[in-house]
Amino acid sequence: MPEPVRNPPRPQGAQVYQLKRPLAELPENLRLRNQEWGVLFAVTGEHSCAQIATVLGLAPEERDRVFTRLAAFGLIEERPLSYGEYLRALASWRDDEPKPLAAFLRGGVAMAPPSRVAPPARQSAPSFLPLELPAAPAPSGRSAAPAERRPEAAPQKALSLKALMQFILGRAGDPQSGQLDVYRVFIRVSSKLLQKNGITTLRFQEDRLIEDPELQHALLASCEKALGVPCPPEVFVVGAA
Amino acid sequence: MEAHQLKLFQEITLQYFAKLAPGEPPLLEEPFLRFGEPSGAEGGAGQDYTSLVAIRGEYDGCLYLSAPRTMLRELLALNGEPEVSEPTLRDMCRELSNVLSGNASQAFGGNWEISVPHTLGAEELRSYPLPPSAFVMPFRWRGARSLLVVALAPPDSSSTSIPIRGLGDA
Repeated sequence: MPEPVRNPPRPQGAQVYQLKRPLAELPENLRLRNQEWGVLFAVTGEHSCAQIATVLGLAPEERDRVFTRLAAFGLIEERPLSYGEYLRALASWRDDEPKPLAAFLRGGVAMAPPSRVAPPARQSAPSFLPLELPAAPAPSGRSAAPAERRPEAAPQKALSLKALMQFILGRAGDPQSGQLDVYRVFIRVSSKLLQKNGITTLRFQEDRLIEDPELQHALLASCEKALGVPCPPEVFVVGAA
Repeated sequence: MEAHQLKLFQEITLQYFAKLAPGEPPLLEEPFLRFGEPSGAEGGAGQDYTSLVAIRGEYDGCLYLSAPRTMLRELLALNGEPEVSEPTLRDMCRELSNVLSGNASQAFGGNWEISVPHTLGAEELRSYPLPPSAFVMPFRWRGARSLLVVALAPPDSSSTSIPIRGLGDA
């Protein structure tokens, strides 16, 4: 089983998020903190995390926590950007250390690369021409042609059912109370959604890694509703890329 | 549903078997959660007969005991019934249904509404509107594996609609 991520991947200030579903379709039982609601309503797919955090007065740590949680709930997702858009977003991420253009470009690509070049999601959004990057050598010394410069995609976060169940069992006074609490959490999750993810039975010591954002969100929301506590980030592990 | 209620229900149900055959207590196996229709494979042997009571309270759902024919045959023998046939097996299942109903009233009385007991064959169970999520507690007694099950759904769920009243014994 993969080791739990102590510090789960954090969104960086230059990333641009968009809503995964319209606000009108949010689940009725969704519960968020004030800052999370504020960020959720500010996410339009046009502004970087840093820009939204500046407007809302969020410190970088708070910004990262909020975006991580909203993404884990399946409410927002990173929008693919063209290189031009990405570098523009990167410019909104504050970094006081002066650097030459090449370092800025290299840093930008290395920090949080777009997984693919895509047109802006909305026609009204400012359009950018993809920026041809100079052929500066990459840190590894390999050719820096655009297709090869794209680093590997970040590992996808998966929710470990074993870690989730251990968290629930650990809170209970005895094993049977804990098992009943686990059942309470799963009662509110659609069995069809579980079956869609290949889960028809589940033992309390068994592990399954959930990568489906819809099921992740359903489990996290149900845990919070049934037990009154949010799941800790340790329930997430690094899954397959 | 509180853990102590579930524990009491489990204990007094297993005690029924322990009292029938002192020295041969039923052995609890690791519980698990089930999502979707009951599957014959989860019981090892077939789950041929089911004794069931519907309950309503904090959640809606049912409590049931699914047993293979071999276990009911053992019960018939212990009760001095030499004939093993569909009617006698059903009678034995009906007896278990009454036990289950009494146990449910003892464990969950007060804050839960409990139906009259119901007796189901394998086909009838398949067509029964069971909640899609179940807490399954398997146990083994005299070599036969049976399932004691709590299946619940939130009250606002439309996934199940088990009638509490008018649920007669079959």
